[in-house]
Amino acid sequence: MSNNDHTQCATCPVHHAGNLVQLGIRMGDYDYLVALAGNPNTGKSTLFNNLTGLKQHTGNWPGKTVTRAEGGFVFHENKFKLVDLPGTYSLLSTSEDEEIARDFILFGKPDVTVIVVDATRLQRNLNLVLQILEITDRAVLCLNLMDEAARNGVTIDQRHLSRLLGIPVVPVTAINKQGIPELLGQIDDVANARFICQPRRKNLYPKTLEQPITELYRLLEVPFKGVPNLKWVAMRLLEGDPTLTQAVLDGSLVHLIQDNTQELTGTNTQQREAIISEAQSLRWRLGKNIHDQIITSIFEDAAQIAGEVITKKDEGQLFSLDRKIDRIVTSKWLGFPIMFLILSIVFWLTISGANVPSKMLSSLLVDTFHPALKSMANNLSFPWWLSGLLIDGAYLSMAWVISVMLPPMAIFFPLFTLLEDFGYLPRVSFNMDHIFKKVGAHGKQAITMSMGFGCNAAAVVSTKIIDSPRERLIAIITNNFSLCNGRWPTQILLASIFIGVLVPARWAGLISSAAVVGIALLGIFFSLLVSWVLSHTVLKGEASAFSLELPPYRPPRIWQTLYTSLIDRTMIVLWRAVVFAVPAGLVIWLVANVTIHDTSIAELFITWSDPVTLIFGLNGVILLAYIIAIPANEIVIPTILMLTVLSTGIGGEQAGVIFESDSIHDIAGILHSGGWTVLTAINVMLFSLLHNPCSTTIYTIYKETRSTKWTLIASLLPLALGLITTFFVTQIWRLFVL
Amino acid sequence: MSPLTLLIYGIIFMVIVIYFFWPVHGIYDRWTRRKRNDERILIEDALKYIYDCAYKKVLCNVNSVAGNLSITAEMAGDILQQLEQKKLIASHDTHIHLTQKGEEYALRVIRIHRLLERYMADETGIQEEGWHLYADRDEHHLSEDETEQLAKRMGHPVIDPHGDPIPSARGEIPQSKSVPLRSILPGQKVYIQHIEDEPHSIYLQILKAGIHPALRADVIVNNKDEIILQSLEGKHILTPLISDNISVQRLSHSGAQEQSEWSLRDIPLHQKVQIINISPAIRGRQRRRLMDFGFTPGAWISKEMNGPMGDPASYVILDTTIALRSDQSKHIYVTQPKVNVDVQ
Repeated sequence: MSNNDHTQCATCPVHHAGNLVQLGIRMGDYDYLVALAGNPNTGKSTLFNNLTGLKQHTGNWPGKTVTRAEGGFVFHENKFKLVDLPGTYSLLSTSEDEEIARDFILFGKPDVTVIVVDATRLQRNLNLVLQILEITDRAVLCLNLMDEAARNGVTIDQRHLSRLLGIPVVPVTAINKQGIPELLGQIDDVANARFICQPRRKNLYPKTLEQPITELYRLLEVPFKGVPNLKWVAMRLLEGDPTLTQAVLDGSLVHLIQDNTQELTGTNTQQREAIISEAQSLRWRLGKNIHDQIITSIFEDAAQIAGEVITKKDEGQLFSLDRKIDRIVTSKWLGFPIMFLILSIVFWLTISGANVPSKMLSSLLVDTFHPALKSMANNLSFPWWLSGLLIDGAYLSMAWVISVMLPPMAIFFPLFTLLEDFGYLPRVSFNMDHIFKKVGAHGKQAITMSMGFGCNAAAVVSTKIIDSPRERLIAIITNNFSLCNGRWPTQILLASIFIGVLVPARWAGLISSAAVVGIALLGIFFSLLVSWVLSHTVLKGEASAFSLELPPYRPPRIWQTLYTSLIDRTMIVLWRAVVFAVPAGLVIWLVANVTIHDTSIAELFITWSDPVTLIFGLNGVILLAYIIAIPANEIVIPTILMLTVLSTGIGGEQAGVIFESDSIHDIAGILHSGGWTVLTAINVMLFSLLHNPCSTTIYTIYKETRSTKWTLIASLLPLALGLITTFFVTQIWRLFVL
Repeated sequence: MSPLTLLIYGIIFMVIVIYFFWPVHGIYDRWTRRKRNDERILIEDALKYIYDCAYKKVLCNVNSVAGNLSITAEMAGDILQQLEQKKLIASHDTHIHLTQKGEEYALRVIRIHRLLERYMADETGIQEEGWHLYADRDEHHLSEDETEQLAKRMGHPVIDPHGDPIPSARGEIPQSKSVPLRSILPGQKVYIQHIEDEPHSIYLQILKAGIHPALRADVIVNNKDEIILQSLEGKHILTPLISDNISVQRLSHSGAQEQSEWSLRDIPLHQKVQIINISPAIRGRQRRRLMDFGFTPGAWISKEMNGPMGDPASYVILDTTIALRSDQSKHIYVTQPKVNVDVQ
């Protein structure tokens, strides 16, 4: 494969004169391994995309790269494999991300580590830089976001910085590809040892630790002579680092020697165990502040370097525009109105804007293609059951899902992503955090919750921005209480047929929209209530940490955003929905057409379940529709209509063919003949809010939590709440209203 | 069925479900707790208590054991007899002390207990009042292997969240250096070394007064009715009875510098101050994350704005805006702002 790549890529676009050939993920074997490390939100992913030609989603969010991404490029005839490590602030805090990054730099032995830093905030980023330089000998510092630094009047003496750190320093503006050729040149130089790095390793450890570190160092030298950075290993042992403790115990620490050929010689297990037990008794003496002392002394060194190389034009000028914006969008009086206004505009654009393309898609896929396929099947003389199963069942439900799901998502996600890239969303969590703190959740849940109004599955994926496991789980479990795009149409339809007619015609529109908004607000209420209950009961013992960084505002890049949000979110969600819709379509067709003693399975189920469902103010048709239309909430109403027609025997539609009518009167007629009352409508509206998530969301929850238990809880809890709510509403209604 | 009947059935059903599954006090939780409460637990708790007496150099007898374990004196007698048969304790006259073997056993249980507390404090969202309860519940069910696994995962901690040393796997433990809070005269400055977490009701009162290990405070009043401490986090009022469960270390007065310490929560907007330190009340992940953001002694920080609901507020440190909740920022101590503005 690797041989072909080169010739294929001769036709790839080469966007600058740097002899760069982007290889995407087609790497095969490679000459050099390059790691990309850096703080979150420093434009690492943008740089990665520029070098490899891949399109990772890059958001203005700390911590976007959650799993390791890999790509490749060719420069000066050499093949480089690039690994994008998760963004971390440190390598010493033992979070999962940091362990991935640390282990890769340490044990993956990359030929070059490119450290990406935010030039405007160099001092803070130096913490990570100095830590990385402790464990690798070959690195390049990439001063990214130079445009932002220039705008804020920050200048950096890069030559002096390079001297101080002992590695090449390259200023880059990854967004418009400035400095990329120079960066590539330096990577190449370091990889080929044309530039010999002399990484800064001084002043890093506090005075109090000098003696214990030396003590351990002497012990380590015996079995592990030749391992670079034994002082660093000693420091990690003093901190009780489990990975390195293990590496010392089983001797695998020798693998840290570059080009290691020697095996462990002349040492025994006892000797290595003695090192660990000495480390532990030293820790006894030192108390528990070791970590604090180390970080403090690293930051002191960072401050010294920063003082020598950074010039700021004017302290007050730094991010003054950001602060002005912040003072408005998070102010006491304007913060909330602005937030509600922006979010309402997004939802309104989504709901009203999706109508037209939805109709077009549906007339194409349902009204044109469906009959065409049917007649084609007839011409090919398919048996009736085969064309029914494939075309009326599988194809039609897929067509429905695409035509009702695609347009709203294609509008909602790009809009949301624009807000995200601009940097507004973290301010929403800042505003809302107080409420979420009260229920034991994270402020960022406000964002995943708003996203849930678009699509629960995508919102569950987006809970990655919450870095604390407990709060993240709460956000995942409660996300289904956000009324998603697929459920809004059901609410609007039922409210206008059944609620609007209860009042004089001129109030009808207002009252039915109020009912829909009421349901959405009820969803938020349930979301908060369930968060509170979870954080006080089952989720009490899960880990928790609150942190919220408010990144600087950055102008969003519209086309890039459109592209990545369509690929990243819309298409993935849609694809999953289609995958689930096809088997559901088969089932829908089968239950309507397979008969036992001349009665279809659907009718049997409906007759059987009617008495039970009546207790909840629903009916058998609704229950069956919610069971078989689990792939997408969008097809619940069409399925209900089909099943109602089937079980009442009115109308001329074919069994198993889901449909929806353009005329509200027709739909109202069908529902009335199915025995629907105002109570039924209210209960269906409630049940539409409170029932199990769609199969796409359930699958996504499983992928994100990797736990059957939490997936079950997230699926069954809303269902139980729905049944309880509809039950009590029904009984009280029947007592007092009827 | 009539809606009224159904409604009543529904309510009864809900009440039963809630009664059964309510946390801590519900039937399910009570039942599982009772199942665990077997003899081994009583034996281990008795050993722990007797060890504690020796550590604090007080005498203990059958009655005080019964009181501590909340069992009758007869049962306590039974337990002690068993302990004596197993050669875990020895008695002279009425007072009891541990044998070498008993002390090793007690230290093992204490190690597990304190490790569990440390684990809950650092790695979970469980609040202070829960640590002791859960540790008490789980300490009897952890094998030696599991204990060492836990210790390893946390990087072998050496001090528990109440300020007590955690015995090492080999059973070593340092001597205590602290004195009871009641012995401190007004005007002296103290460092809270340790809070006794038993009995639970008194522990809760101490927490309610806002006292936590490593808090530094001035003793303002100390008489037979009450003891009042003043710290950066506020005023703490204690009765002498509950103050007996707090051990402290005397701090020498370093005068002016100490006086000018502020809590980050209270500084006025747009005033640059320097961080002095972060209180140990911020632990685990939380602490490490703050340090990664650059919250280290000597760093400059200013409050940028208060959120629309007052909390959280945002702060600028190393040119980055970070939002902190007030229950975090109050534990970060900073230098006095230059222009003295009223506390907001």
